[in-house]
Amino acid sequence: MSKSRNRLLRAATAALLGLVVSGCAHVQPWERERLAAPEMAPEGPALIADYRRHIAQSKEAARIAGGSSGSGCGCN
Amino acid sequence: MAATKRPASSAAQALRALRGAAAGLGAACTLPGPAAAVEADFAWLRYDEGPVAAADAASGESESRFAIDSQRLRLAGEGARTRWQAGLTLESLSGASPWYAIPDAQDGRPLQVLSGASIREQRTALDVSLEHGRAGERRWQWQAGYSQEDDYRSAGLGLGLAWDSADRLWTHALAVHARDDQLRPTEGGSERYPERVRAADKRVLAVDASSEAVLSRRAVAQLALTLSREQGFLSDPYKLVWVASEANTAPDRRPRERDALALALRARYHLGGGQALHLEWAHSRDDWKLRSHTLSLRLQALAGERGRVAFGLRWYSQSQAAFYAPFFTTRPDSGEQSSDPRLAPFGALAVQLDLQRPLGDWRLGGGVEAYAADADYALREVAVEAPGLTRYWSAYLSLGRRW
Repeated sequence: MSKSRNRLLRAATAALLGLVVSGCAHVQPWERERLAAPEMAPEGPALIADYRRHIAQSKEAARIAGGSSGSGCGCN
Repeated sequence: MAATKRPASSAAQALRALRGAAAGLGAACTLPGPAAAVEADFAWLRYDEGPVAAADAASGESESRFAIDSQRLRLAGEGARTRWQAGLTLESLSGASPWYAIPDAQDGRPLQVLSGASIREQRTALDVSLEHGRAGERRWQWQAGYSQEDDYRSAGLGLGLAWDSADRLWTHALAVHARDDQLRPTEGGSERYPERVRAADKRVLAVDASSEAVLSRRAVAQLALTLSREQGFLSDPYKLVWVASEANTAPDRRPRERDALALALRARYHLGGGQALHLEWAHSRDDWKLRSHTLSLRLQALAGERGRVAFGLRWYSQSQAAFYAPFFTTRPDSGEQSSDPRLAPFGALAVQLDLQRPLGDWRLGGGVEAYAADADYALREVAVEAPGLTRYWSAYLSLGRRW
């Protein structure tokens, strides 16, 4: 069970890394229409994304890269 | 910069090209929607934890846990070179939380003791941020936040800088955050809880670095790294541990320092037809020996004229802290001990659904999230499952307007 999860994690990470390292074509500004589409916005509504991050950080031990989850105890 | 690849010049194509060019100004940045002078969003949120099962509770009965009602207001605006944002959060918290665990008299399995449904408090939080500079230039960002509860006060400051490469295919960012937290636990040092600390403080310093790149006409990726140091009272003032040799409880006691590293690799890929796939792998590790992995997938799509729908799936797994045990046979020599389920080995699955629909100048939204932590979801085999792992659902309704 845990072996198959390890494999899945490695495969997903490798696929993501593959996507990143294979990229970096020179894309002209007028070719970035799709990148500006609302569905490409990094997260959902800012209010909600921040709220969900705050909950996750108060229930799990992990630290989140590149984003503070705001202040507050989260002691419960 | 050659313009030979510019699309044919129908009005619609020209508009799309202009929009793409505008996106290019911010390198990998995307535009969240039409530019607005001021926008306001308000959300009602409900968070509800599932009960501890009768089989896992020391009382032998199913016991209910924590619930939070929140209201959040966010105001944001932008001028020619400046963007600002202010947020206010009001929360009402009530219920019971994991206190300590005792061994079952029959089979030694840990059973959860809850604090009793006595917790009831309010939290008020305020945060503001200001960003100065146009896309394509250096952009400075200042942040400040303050949060107040009956027994907890937190104040934080942040400073960030973002800049783009000359071809605007890359955006780099650096930021530093500092936070100072003051704890005044309820009944600290009282006759009833003599070992509970009366007052304490902790500080957090974090440095973020990230780079985001345009990979193709459809794909953007970001690598983010955060180094953080926490110092001071990092224990939970309310939680206890059970020491079997003493047939008694002792306070939760953690190291006074914690250095952590968090990494995230994120990619967004436009599938066409108004749909985009967002992927993330995140890893975090610290000197408490905690290791975690997160995989997230989110599909965002246009729904109807200007509506949006998003479906998210998240898997999380963590190892345990070096000083964690569900209960202790004797007091550890190091003096460090915790039975907080959040430091236990476990995995979790979460699903999210969000909908947004514009109504004239207004924007209506709603969404739900269901989350379940379980030893069976962990990356590696878990020998003894913590009895107080969390299951919760949360839901929200939001209303927004642009002027």
